[in-house]
Amino acid sequence: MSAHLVLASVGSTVGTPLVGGIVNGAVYGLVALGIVLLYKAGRIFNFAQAEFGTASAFVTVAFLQGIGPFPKVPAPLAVVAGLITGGLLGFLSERLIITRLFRAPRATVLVATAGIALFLISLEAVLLGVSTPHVFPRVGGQSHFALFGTLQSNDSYKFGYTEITMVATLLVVAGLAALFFRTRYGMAILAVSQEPTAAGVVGINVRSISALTWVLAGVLGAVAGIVNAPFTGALTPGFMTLNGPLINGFIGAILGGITSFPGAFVGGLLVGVVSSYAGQYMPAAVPGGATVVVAALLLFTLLVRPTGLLGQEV
Amino acid sequence: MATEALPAVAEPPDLGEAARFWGPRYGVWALIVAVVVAVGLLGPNAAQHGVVAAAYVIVGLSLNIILGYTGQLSLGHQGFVGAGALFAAYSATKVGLPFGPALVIGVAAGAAFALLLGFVALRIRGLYLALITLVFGLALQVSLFQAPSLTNGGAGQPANRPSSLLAPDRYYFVCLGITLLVMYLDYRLTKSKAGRAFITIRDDERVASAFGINVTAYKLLAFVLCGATAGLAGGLLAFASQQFNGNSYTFQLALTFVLMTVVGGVGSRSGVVVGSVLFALLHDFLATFHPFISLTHVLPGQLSTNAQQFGPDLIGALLLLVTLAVNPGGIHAGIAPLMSWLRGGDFTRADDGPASHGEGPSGRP
Amino acid sequence: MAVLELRDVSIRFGGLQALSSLSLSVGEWEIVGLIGPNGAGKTTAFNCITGFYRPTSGQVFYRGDDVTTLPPHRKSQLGIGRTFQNVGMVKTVSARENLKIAQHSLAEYGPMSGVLGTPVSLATERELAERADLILELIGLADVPEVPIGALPYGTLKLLELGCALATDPEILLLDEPSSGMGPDEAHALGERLLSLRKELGLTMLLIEHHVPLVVGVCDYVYVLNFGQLLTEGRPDDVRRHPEVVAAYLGGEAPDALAATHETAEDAALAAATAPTAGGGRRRTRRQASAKEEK
Repeated sequence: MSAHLVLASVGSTVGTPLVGGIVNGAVYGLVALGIVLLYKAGRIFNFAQAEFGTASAFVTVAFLQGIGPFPKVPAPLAVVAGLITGGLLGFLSERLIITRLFRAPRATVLVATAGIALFLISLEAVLLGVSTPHVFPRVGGQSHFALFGTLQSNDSYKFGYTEITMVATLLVVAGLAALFFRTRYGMAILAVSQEPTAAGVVGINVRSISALTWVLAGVLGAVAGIVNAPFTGALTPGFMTLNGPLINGFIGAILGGITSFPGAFVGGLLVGVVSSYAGQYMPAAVPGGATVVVAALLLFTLLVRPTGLLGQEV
Repeated sequence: MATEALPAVAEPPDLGEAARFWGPRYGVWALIVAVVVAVGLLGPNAAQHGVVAAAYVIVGLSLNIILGYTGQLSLGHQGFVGAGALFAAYSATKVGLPFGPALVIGVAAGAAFALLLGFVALRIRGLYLALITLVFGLALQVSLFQAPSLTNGGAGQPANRPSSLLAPDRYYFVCLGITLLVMYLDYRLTKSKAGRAFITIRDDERVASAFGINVTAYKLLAFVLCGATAGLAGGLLAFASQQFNGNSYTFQLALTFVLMTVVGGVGSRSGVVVGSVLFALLHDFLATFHPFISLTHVLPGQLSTNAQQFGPDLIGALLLLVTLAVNPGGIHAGIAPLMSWLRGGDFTRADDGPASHGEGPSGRP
Repeated sequence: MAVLELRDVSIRFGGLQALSSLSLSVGEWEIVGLIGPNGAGKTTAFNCITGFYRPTSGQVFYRGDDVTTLPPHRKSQLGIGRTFQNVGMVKTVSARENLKIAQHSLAEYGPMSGVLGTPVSLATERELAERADLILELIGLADVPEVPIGALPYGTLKLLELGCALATDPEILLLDEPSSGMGPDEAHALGERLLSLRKELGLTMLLIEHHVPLVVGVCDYVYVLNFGQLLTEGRPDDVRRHPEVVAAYLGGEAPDALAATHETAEDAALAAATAPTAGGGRRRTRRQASAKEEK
């Protein structure tokens, strides 16, 4: 076997699932970051986190394609519109629903966030229907990361969504780190999450910080939705919530220890990569093999180390 | 502990005490009974809806055991309900068991899977466990419910009703009877040592064991009871549609189950019953609601079609959010005075709310 | 034979030696006090006795049997009842319901027979309700309203918690700061009540208490803990004058500590008033375990 073929076969057996897994994992990691943010800020499990992404992706695609009343605008503007949508949805959720449930049991709050997700899903269905496909336009040549396997043809290297996803994710992670460790806002969010009363005493406006946290979570969800949309093909209402990113994001957040930002992102990546390999190598006779493997991973991790991989909380 | 007496099943309230109030009360009771019976007499369509509502009530009560009494959130109830449906259908069609035994197999399947999850629940708590239930339900949904050998290669497993129960109205009354029985058993549960043990464990496991309650055993019992009732509901649903279809038992359904329980009022039997019926019927009710249909006519083309198809879901979700935002206690808080009055008490008496609104799972494991 | 005996019980949490080699014994019908500054390991000792913690080393004997490793609910069923420092009951249900909860082990029907409503279970439930009323009468709360107990004042809750512990039908009662949240008068009444409970029900008690007059008034014998170690033991009046005890309390933070060094008038009066009943020899076994409350 020639070296070229070995490389190609290594590429298709190891490399392709790895790259696919990393791309999916980046999306899960972004969802997980939003989940961890809101969990840290108010001990809330936000089941609408991924749906912020679906709605934002729809707004972005509408602007990209010029669908319905939306004018066709350049891609960066369309993306910004999507991010604003996410932030706005986070803000409205917090103001209209979450603040009213201040004293409610946590199960009720959780149900309320799930209700927000269901509301957005049906709103999307009413506005867009499920039959009309909304697809992101192609960017560059392949949407594959040409590392091992896909270089064997004579394609010249072209950037695609894979690279965009990776770069965007890295930017978001770096931005979050800068926000939390370099700015007053970030510090205030962390302070409120750890000691709300004390934070109020030292002059932090707990109310506006809470709203800001939800805006930030909404934007994070929007990034996840927008980078995931090109890989989804035809967008359907609720694709972020019902097709995996929400649940895998939660699993990632838990694996990472629910209160750790790095842990959440690494956890999301791990879920993406593991399920990618499992999807490739689990026998076809076992339906849903990838999900079963991820479920086993979660269960095993929690039984061995109940605080997650990077969790600090006792 | 929720202490509502239930229509037609619970101990009748003390007549001597408040006899002079009983005129109008009997009237309202009679109305409730009349509506419930009428559903079975209004034709196959109404009866079919009634069957689904009855099954949803059982699911709601099942979730109420785990969420209301033991304070543990299950986000994977489609797994237990689906397992009950699958095994009931399989044993009826492939094994050839009659209706009753097939239903029992469904109950056993739900209980068995719940027991499995119960062992995990001994180690993991709070929201973490809620996530485990979610993933567990999802794993069942994508693997077991799609298993070719159990579902005719994914096409679905038929579950034909015996000819004596083929008519929807007859099947409705059977389901109604089973539902009332489950409500009665649930009432007895809350009035006996097991129900008291559950709420004590929910409040504080240390206190429970100081009172001699075997926390491990009762936690497992709660899961088994919860899974068994969910499996029963699944069996009834399978025979309702006369087949098991793995694609019906989705994560979205699990969310709906949790929504109806919480909107109904966690820990309150009557609230959960009302919430479950509401969610079972809301979609179809709104779809046939005339003002709504005429509204969709004014909307332009495609939007109108979408609105007709998905509008009910939208309104359902909106109702949920408004209910929670206005009244976090759910429907229970709204109907508590009525229920109190129906039981022979005072209409205006302030109810203390669901005795057991599960101070939801705590995130700290 | 001692009802309860600890032999060299030690427990370690990470780097913290919470208890080191604690030995104590409680004889039949005795009321024994366990005192010491905050953080001395008193509640830890309770948790070792009742099975919430497993000692790193040492043994717990109950009526001569080694019960060190039994789980808490088994110990409760054996007759070791306890209360908690911050009220251990279900706050969302009524006092009567809590008393029924506490009688869990006495309800001798299976959980499923309760769900099915068998005649045995229904009859037992009626007995539990009657017994709940009896206990309420016994602790002087017969007229407690039928509301969730979360709405009741703290002093009432502490009393009710005592009732719940009694409802488990204990032979030895471990009380964790029973007088907290009570004023001097209420505490005095509590002391009287504990003494009369012992008389009527033949109970043995081990109590953690900060309220010095109460300790002096009811305890036959006192163990003093400090930093997880036994500082001293003896009759209450001897212990309170022990120089190391005085030093420990002054070095500690318990506000009551000062009271231990200044004999207040009330303190002395209570001690005198209760002496005839509370005094007596250490190794007294006036009544046997069979002298329990009739069901």
